Amino acid sequence: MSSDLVIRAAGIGKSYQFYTHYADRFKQMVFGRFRKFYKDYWVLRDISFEARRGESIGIIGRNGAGKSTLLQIICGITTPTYGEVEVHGRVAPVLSLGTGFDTELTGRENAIIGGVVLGLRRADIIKRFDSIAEFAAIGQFIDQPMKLYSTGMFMRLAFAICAHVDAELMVIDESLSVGDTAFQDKCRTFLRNFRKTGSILLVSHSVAELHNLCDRVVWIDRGRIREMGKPSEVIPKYQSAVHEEHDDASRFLIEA
Amino acid sequence: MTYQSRAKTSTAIMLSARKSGAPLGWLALPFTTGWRHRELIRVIVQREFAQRFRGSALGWFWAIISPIVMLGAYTIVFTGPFKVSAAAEAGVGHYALFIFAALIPFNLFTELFARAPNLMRENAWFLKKTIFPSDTLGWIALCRALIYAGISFAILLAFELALTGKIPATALLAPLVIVPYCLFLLGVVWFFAALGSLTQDVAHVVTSIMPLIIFGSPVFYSVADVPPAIREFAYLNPLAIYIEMTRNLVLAGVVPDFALYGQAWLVALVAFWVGHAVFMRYRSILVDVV
Repeated sequence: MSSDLVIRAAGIGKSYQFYTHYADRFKQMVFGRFRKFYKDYWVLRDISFEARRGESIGIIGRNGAGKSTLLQIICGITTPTYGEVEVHGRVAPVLSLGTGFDTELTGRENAIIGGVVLGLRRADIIKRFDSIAEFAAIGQFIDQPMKLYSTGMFMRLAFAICAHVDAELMVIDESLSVGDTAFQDKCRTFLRNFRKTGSILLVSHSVAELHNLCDRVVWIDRGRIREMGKPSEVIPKYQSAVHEEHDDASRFLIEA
Repeated sequence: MTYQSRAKTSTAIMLSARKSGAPLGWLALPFTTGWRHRELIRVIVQREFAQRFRGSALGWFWAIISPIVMLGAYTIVFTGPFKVSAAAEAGVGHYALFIFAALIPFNLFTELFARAPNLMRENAWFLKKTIFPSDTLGWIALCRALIYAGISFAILLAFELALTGKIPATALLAPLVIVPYCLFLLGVVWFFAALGSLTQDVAHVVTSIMPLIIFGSPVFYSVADVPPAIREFAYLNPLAIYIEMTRNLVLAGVVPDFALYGQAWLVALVAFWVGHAVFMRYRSILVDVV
């Protein structure tokens, strides 16, 4: 195992269990070893890739392709049904909308909890708080309950916290697009600096962003890796494929 | 921080524990994970209290007033207009103390037991969006409940001092009972949190049996009052062990029987490890079902 390996995903797959009747869930608990009472919905299948220190990987794919589930697995929030994932170093996840905020609490309180959840000491977070507030740039709202926040403010605070936890891997789920241009610029500047020491895993539908920030792009199609390579090679293929495909529900079939 | 995630997480966690520590590392595992996340537990417990008393002018006063009201009500009911025979035997206020001393550990249990099945669901937004070590939810729930129990306990001691003029020295030994009791409670919380996430029926079962538990536990009576024929079975209810011992230490000044104390630890450790093991076994799928 190389020391500068940050992510190693070896043939991971993830299925969710779909139950037709609620009682089936109970039957599965009791008689699960004899019979299967659910249908599998395979979100991911046979995903393998690696990321080294300082490498940035972009993930593209259509809605429901499994991108967010993949990020959740990498972050250790959920576990794969089969396969193995290894992640080395501190992960800072900027996941879509929310990043585990308690909306009853103020931005300040959530920042402290968020920082501690990601492995910082409380004292360290308090020391860095001014810098977090400055990055988020939401003014007086930092001491207001987060239920009063706009979507953009949520995301600003989420990113600001993750930018201050000395992460080695930043996992970003489409959230950059929520910010306004000024904030996006700030995030991009931060990420460009961050890339010198850390790795980024970025889900995005913005072609420009992927070109700018990523060394490699992984194209996920219906839970499988369809292409992997340089942004300049993979993105055009993806775009032409999307233009050809119909936008219908056939991608969301649940198999028996 | 380095972690591995496999299809079977529990084994991965067990393996890393065995690798990192002593040969009996898995025995210490529930403690070490709790200790590792102590900052997180502290921050979240603080948050819960900040949230609870936000917008109330008197803040902590409310946490103190409710046990006082309860103790006052028991005193009035059992010594005032109603002449309950057991109360009359014990003397004015003594029966209220007798009940209250048992109610503190009992309420600690009911609060946690009632909350456990929904614990994961209540915190789903946390579990799904951040890298949250879900087993710490058990520690957090326990710490929270312990703070309220501590307030009640202080009021109990103050009331006892006012009423009888003294507190038995054995009250100082109470922590020796509280520690295994906490381990027992944590095991219960983990077990029912895991079960309750899988099916909501568990929460309903828990609410339905709750009223029965109070009569099966020596709260309004003591184990000595149980008819001799079935007295042996009284301690089959683990709560009886802890309630009796706490009450005897704090009120009667009686040091618990050595065998019973051993039983308290045995029950506590078994509940603690089984609860934790069950929770960790299902932990990875719980996130997907809540």
